Amino acid sequence: MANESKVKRHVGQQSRRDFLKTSALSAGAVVLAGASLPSAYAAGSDTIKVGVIGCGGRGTGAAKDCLKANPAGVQIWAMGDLFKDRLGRSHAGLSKNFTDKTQFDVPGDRQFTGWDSYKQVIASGVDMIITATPPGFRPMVLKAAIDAGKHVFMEKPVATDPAGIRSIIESSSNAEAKKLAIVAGTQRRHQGRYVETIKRIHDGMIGELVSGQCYWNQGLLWVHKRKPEYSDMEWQVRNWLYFTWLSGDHICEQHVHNIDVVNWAFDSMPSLAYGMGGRAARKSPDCGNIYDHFCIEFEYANKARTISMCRQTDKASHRVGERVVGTKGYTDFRGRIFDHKGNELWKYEGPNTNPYVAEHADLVASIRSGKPLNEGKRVAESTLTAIAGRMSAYTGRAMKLDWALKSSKLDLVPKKLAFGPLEVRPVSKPGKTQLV
Amino acid sequence: MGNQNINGTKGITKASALAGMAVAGASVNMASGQGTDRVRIGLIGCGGRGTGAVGDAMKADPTVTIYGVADLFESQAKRAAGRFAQRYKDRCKIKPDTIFSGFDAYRKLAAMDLDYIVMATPPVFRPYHLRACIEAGKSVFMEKPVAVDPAGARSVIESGRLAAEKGLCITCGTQRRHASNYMSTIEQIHQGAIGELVGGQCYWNGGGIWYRGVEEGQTELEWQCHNWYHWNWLSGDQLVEQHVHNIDVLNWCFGGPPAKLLGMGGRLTRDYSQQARAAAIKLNGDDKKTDLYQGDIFCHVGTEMTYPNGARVLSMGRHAPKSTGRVNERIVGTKGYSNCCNSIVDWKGEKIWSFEGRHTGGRTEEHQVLIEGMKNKKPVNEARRIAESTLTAIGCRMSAYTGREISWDWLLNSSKLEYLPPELEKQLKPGPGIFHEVAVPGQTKLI
Repeated sequence: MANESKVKRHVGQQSRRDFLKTSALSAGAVVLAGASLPSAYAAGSDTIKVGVIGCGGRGTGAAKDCLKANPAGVQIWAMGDLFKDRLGRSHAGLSKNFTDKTQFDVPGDRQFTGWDSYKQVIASGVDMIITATPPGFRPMVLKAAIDAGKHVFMEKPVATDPAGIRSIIESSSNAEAKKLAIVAGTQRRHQGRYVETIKRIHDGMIGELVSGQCYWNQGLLWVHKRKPEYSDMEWQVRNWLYFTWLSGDHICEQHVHNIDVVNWAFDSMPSLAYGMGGRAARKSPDCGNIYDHFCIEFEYANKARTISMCRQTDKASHRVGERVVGTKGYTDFRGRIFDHKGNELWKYEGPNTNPYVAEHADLVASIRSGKPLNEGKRVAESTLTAIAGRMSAYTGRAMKLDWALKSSKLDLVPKKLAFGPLEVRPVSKPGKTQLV
Repeated sequence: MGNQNINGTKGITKASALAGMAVAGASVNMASGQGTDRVRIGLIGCGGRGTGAVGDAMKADPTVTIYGVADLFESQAKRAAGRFAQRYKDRCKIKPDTIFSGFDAYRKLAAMDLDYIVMATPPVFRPYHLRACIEAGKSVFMEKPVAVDPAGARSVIESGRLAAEKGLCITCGTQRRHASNYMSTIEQIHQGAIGELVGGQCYWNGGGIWYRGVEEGQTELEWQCHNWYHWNWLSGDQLVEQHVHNIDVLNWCFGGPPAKLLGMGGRLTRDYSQQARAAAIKLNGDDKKTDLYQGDIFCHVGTEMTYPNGARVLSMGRHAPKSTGRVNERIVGTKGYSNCCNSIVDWKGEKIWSFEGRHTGGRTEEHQVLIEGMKNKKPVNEARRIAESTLTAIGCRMSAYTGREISWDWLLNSSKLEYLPPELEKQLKPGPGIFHEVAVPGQTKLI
């Protein structure tokens, strides 16, 4: 099944988006020729200069996707990463793939490392940034980029706690005022099959939505083991998947994709999260403090309750996907909509666009057309949905999303970002972990 | 009047039973040969639920009289007998030689002249006890759940079949099935009040459970049976032991068990280290077995159950301190939804039906239905239904324990999981306990 092969792809650390074919561009990609350029970017040039912040597998992949989507008029101009080795590896890979300097031109003096590297990239003369750092850093990077007047492509999720979410929403609102574009890496929003299915849901083909499910159940991901020379902070950032302050836990880091689709179908965040989870097979301290499974119920404003399940466990059943159920039918987003008798109501017959490339094409096209996309608030809400599910599982408490958004004081990211000692918070437990 | 039978033998009439009087000229109940017109019961499993169920039976019919009790522990059996004598006066006819104890006490009770037997032992024993009672020609009221593994559930289904052949009655302690508010609401649902069923939820999320220390003279195995909730092989885990109630309501709505189960869960918050240490020291003189004695059940399981019509519902069971509790059910249809127990609301939020009748709790009624079935020779038999709901909960647990998706067909027909095989059950005697590792999804084998 398509979804299962997707899971396998995601298991490999860097391989997941390398399968993409450049031919699979969305319509947005061909808007280039003759487009007039708004003054908001690249004054004196029609090239959009891009800085990459966070040069791991996803940052490198996103840079490639961006260039594939925009074979002319976009240039990777600067790169930044906390770690020199990660930047070097990424730079080497991109140099090999893109030998034309009009596409990729990042000499040594535009390669920045260390804690301030994101600021240096932003100040290096770029028009747009691609940011794919660990999610805990996203609010900080987005704020700096929008404050400096840069367009942004940011990976999902966009925060790991409600404080971060509020920051993202504020930055997105500032971006709106400044006519800056923000596109997020929830690529299903740019995938024809999803876009067309949701359109029909919103047009009422399956009636009112009354139920739904979404899943990201898969095996284990990579682990970056500690080395003697690492400080606590260095180890945690290198092994970021496993620390809630950095990744948001896997419900946030991976499952936000599926949660976002259900939110999209309902055209809102849920109003209530009620969940459970734990660390049943994940025992190693190498795996920090995240859980290995979550089972959450989300309730939407119309009282529809949906299931969200995610798991990272080897040799367990896998399932990745989404499904929504209405009064007149249902869909599992695989390109078909059915009524409750099982009759097909609609079938997707459009192209199988490559969503990882399409999101960059759509982003650049929106900048060039002077109608910048701004997905910041929307992806913040989906990220918050995942965060609220996690908080509910961690504390055992049911939680209103509105409370999480406005009143939760959870703020996990250390105030002082520097290499040095950093205690690993204990694994959360209902009854012990306070809801803040 | 006076010629209707209980359990196919001559006995009391419904009218006389309700009047609580001997009926002149009534033929005797041949099963007893004592000329009684009483409904004679016995109890296997003299804990809180067992003695409570006897109380329910006493309320159900004024002629119900208890003649014998059986429990693993002599002290518990005697305590229950004493309490019954005090509370029920001449409706307690227990004698010193009808108080049975030990692992085989149930066989002795089953051999008595009784109309029906109430059973409320830890769930693992239910299939064996049911079988013995049915073979001995007794009707049965049994507490839920009725098994801890697929082998046990199959045994209950088989005993149910045997009971049907013999004209015996079986009811069980899923009291929502006999509660007026649930019955009326689900009748509405079956008549289409909410349209086609497309979703649902059920929950038993609570705070926690007792942990019983070692009592004087108990061996390790006896103490395990005393503290049975904490071992999956005895209780079936919280999901089976408690949450079967809520799962049963959804099965009721859908008219049968789900086709597929996908669950997840873990053991995160159960901490009995102090009590377990005390138990270890008392039993062994040292605390080496402290961890082992904490038990092996999960603290939470969340499962998606997919019914044959494609509807996917959520089941949640949890024990966790200071957490948000929720114990109820909800069924979702194309036209509206219901809490299954008194209210139906359409998708505009308008209440389209609500239960206005008199509430009956169901716990007395489950005995009344049994007694009337025996008297009227219209046997009621809930064995298969409760075996299916128990097996549904078992399947949820197995899916969570192993991390694997499970189909109903496989679970019912092919799973070989059996914690207490017949040869082991026969040999149970005071001595060393039986222990299993806490399940680890992905590592615990699906069998």
